[in-house]
Amino acid sequence: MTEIIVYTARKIRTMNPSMPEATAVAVRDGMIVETGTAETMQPWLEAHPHRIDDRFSDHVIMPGFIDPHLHPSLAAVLLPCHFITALEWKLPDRVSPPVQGHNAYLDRLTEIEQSLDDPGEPLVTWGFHKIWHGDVNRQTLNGVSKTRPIFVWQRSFHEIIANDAAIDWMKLNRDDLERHPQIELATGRFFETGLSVALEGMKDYLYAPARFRDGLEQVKRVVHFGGHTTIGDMAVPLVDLDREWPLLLDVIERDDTPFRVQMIPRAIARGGSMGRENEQLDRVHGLTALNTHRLQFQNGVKLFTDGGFYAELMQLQEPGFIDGHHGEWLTPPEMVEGLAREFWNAGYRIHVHCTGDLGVELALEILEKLQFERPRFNHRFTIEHFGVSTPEQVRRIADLGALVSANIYYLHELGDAYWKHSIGFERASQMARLGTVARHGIPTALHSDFIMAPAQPLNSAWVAVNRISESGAVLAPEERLTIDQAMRAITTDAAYILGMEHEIGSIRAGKKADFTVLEADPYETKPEVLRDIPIWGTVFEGRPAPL
Amino acid sequence: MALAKDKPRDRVPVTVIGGYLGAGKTTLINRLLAGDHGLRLAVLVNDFGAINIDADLIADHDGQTLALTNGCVCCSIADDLGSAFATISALTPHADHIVLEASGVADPGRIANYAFGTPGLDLDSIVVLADCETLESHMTDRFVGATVRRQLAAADLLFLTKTDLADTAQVARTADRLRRDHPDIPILHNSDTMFRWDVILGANTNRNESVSAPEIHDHQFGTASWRKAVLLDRSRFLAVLRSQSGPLLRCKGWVRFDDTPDKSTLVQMVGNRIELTDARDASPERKNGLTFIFLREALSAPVLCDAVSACQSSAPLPQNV
Repeated sequence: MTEIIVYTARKIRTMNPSMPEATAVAVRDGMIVETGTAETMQPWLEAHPHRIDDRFSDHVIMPGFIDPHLHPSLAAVLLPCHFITALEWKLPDRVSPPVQGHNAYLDRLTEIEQSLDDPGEPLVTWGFHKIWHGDVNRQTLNGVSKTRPIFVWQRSFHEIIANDAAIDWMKLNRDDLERHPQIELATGRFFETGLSVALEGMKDYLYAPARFRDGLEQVKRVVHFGGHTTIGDMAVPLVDLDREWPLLLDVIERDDTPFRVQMIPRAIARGGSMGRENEQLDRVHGLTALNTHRLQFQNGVKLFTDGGFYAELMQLQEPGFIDGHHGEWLTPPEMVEGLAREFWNAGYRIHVHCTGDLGVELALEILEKLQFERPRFNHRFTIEHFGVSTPEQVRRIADLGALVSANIYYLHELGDAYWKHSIGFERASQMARLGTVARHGIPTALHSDFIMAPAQPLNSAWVAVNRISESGAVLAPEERLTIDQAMRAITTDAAYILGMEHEIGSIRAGKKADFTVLEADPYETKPEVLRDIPIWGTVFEGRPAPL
Repeated sequence: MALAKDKPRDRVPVTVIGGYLGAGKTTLINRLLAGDHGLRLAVLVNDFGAINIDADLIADHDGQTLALTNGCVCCSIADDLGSAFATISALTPHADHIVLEASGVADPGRIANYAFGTPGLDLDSIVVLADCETLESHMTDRFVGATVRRQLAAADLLFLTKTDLADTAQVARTADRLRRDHPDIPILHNSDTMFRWDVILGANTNRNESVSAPEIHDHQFGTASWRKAVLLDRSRFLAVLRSQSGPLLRCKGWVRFDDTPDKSTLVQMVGNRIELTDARDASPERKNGLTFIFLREALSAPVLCDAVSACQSSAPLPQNV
């Protein structure tokens, strides 16, 4: 029989309320056999061969962090870009320092341009936002380089600015571009539908298999770097599973990958499905045949209601947006309902993307109908993102037995901007009202939706307990989580949302030996510096993986 | 925005079909695919499975594309309009006309921007369907009301569908509501119009011939053609078109204006949207002449032709036409 390894630590935060703290955990074959102290686990140790590993004697061990909602394939397309961001982004191989102000932006871009060896290589940068970086246009970019194609991809992904070399490089007819209502050749802006013209021109470059593979390798390091041992890929596929799956297998299903991925398929593939929801169910059901050790389809499925939060396309109840524009539906409401019913009746765990309060309302209306038609307990219907909501909706979420998985980073990055430019202070300050959610006892996870937010659970937890906006303001302190609530939201409750709480999320006998090893105890750290706790690395299924 | 286009006739016209779920878009598309319009249509749809075509008509079927024996092609958008356009552009011979089905929650105006902006394509019209049985409730629905109202507002032509299923009072009420909300958009009933391809697709100048008139007689519509070797006054001509929008559904053809006497100008009007596109020159194949489709109850051929003739400029037409 395999030897038991006992990891001793300064402290183990088990997240098991029956034994919240421990100093030793015994592991065999990737599974925890006992948690407690060196003394309490003696019966196991006397009965079996074992050794003590005290490398963590100065560290704090927590259950492996879980982010139930990110998008590895989308991130694989974006990570190879050069980041120039208004807020700091820490990535494993680089730190994108906060760059604010027009001149600072151009200086950084110039610096990157000059660092590239191949003069013909396109420079694609991501992170630009005019609130922070001012007016960057074709002429400004021509000033950085007349010969190298430069593409500035906006933070929300909805706009690209190109220099003349980039416009030529895309080999698009200038007459065609000139007549397009959402392309401004004078400024080099490609937005909304014009953006798709630019992306079509960049497609062969952005989606080249070698670049995608390199991107996935980066994603792998990012996930490890954040201290995760389990993530959810919350909308499979990105575009085409036949093309993406082999690369995912190749990069993720390897011995050196210290995490697993639960794959949550889109409930709808290839356009519509009214009246033929059963075909979608069959397709989703069949995906489990692909399962490997690290890549697993289970019984989760993903639905979408309203549009993107960064793009201000969430659907809002009255009084809507200050400028009077409307959000959009990503899927027709009747279609969401038809699909939800099909998967609900088949016993699936349904995750619904809802960014605005009208999106939340639609999801709850549907859930209420389904509960009336065919009541289910323990169904794990989850509101994903949870940007704008009302307190009454939170109570309804509790009444209907639903869960919340929130992108709390919205509040940090967009709190000030949406207060001043989009929806006003009241609703902007109450985005992701997690305090209310916690007061209703609703299990809640924090997620990054990477690359919408940094894939760093401690950073998400930091926003949730402080609610500090980008400018430093504290927005709706009533909606802050306690440290314990925030820690649960990246461990036990996140496991619950993925339906994996029997395997992961806390440190107790019988669970997988997944740990995140920290240099300090989050419970004894000042909330304001929670995100700065250094991470030693992780243990995945009993195997240490230092950063 | 620059008006001059290099070769407007090389662009394939696109008709966008919009409307909420259940408005009848699929029915219309099924009829278009099997219709006797004589055009090689490329039809882009969201939901491939809803296409219902007689198996005898299917020549070839590979994944995302369905080729019919009458030369039409149906292609699934499958969440990627860009690549669907690429598939259509690669067809040989080229399609005469593209019909694009907007999804039930899409803003057809936004989809039309894609079509307009895609190299090689030109927007012909935005046709929005409205199911008169459900429109009223959809327009006030808290989830989709704003979406449906935006769809209607984007229309060049509005078609009331399922008029045979709803009671007459409801049809009248819905039509009144639409007329009140959109006084300048022509509102048509679907009774026979589904077969009236020239209303939906327009006359196809790419082939330099108009779509053949339908065999069935449709008392709702009249057609007219105007042909005269004269120069027209641009602003007076525009005023005539604008004053007739509503009853006048479509106008298309080439004319010459006195402010640009050496160039032909392409006139395209659908509903209340009027586009004038100056060509680079006055090639003899761009013969002066216009065709009209109008509602007979409100307009007649002589009234239209006289109104256009009255826009004649005092300047003489240059000799080369």
